[in-house]
Amino acid sequence: MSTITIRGEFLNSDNNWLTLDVYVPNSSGNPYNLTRTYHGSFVEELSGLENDAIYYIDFAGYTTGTVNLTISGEFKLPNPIHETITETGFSRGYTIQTNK
Amino acid sequence: MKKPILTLLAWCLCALPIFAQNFNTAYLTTKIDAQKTANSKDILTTLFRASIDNLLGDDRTYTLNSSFLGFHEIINKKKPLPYSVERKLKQNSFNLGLTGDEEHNITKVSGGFTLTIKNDKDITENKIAPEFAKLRSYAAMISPLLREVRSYLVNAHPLLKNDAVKMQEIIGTWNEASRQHDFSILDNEIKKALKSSTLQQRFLDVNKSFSKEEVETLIAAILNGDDILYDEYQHIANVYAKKLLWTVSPSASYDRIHKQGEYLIATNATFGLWKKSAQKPWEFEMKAQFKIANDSTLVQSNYNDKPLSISIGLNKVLLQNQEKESKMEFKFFTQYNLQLGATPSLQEKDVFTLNATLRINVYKSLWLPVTLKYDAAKGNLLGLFTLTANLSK
Repeated sequence: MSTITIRGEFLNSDNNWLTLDVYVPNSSGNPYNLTRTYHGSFVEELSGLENDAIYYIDFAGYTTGTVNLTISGEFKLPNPIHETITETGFSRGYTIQTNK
Repeated sequence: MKKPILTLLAWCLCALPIFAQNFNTAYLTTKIDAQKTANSKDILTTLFRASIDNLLGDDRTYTLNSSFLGFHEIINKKKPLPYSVERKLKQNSFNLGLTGDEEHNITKVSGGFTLTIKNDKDITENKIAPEFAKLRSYAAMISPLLREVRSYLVNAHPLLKNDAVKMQEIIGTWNEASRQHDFSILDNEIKKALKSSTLQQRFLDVNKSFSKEEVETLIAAILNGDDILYDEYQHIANVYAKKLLWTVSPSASYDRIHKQGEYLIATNATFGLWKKSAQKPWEFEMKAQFKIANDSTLVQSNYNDKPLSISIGLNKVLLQNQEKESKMEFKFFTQYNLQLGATPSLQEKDVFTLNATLRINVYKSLWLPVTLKYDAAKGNLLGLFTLTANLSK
């Protein structure tokens, strides 16, 4: 089993909104579906992920300050994934494959 | 006395770029500041403002204006502030000024404050809900839409299910489109997915809280290359930039020639008109100012000069860049000056003028406002040139 950590760190603003989606599409054998909404900084530690499996991680939201998004843990390169987004509405999609 | 004047001139022209290097722009809502007009930034600077009034005349005034946030950033630039504190520091500013004569002697030294009575231009948490509801709704739609796009891609290309690299290559164009605010660069496979009626129907079946019209509008915007989240954010910035700003500015100066003080209180209010319009905004402005000073035609110290000035005007943005930042503005305003002092030696009891100011952004934060004043009663025309550097980001 693999563990990944997803962090969103909001800086310099009280006006933040973000929705996080972690899922495996069209999966019958290993359904995984996490949808969360945040108004500020968050840390999600997802354990019990299948080894050598592909997961999709999507973000959409806005901030009037800065948000640092980081995905780290037991998955193949590029690892960690990091992005800083400042003062805008945004959407991002990432694809990870957990280690064997 | 030439040196202090020349030093201040150099200060006005050089200080702001230095401040700009020191300032951590991530601490500001820079997009909203960028949408404000130069006219409103002259009333309350977001960081620093340096100006030389009456540029071509004999009596030039050199003014440096700093918000308390700007001052804090110089002293304590590495320490981040909570947004609520940052906003409070942004609301008020102080100014220092020197006036020189044709011999470059300093004739007056002045100092004062600009205090905010009401400033709706800068975002606060408790006022945010209505303006951000639409943006939040779009963001809430995009997340499941991206999920449906991925699902469509995997159905259309089953090998993608086991190819994280290829999937990220395709979805990476979505990320790049969001970074560049240009969705025309999306991978063709994503465009194909978005055009699919199957995808739209699946989206509506799974996400019943959204209407067909909302989904069609969102998809059409994306296929048109629009970054709908960025565009809506820009729209909100524009709405805030048009809100009310009302300030009061007490100041005092010392007349070195007549060796006496002068006192001034001014109030300025400005707000945008036609709030729904996002293009080249109009701004209404109202100013009032009362001064107690000396009648300079008398030799002895006195406080006989008491002019009251009231002006009402309209400011219009003429040119904007792609980010909708103002680059040229025109202001038409009427001004009524009434002499309340017992000053037989001063000129007229009251003067009514028609005025126009053209502000041109000559380079980065450097503006050249040119004002023409027309005395309707006497038919006199007077031109005033000002050089202003107003740093907001």
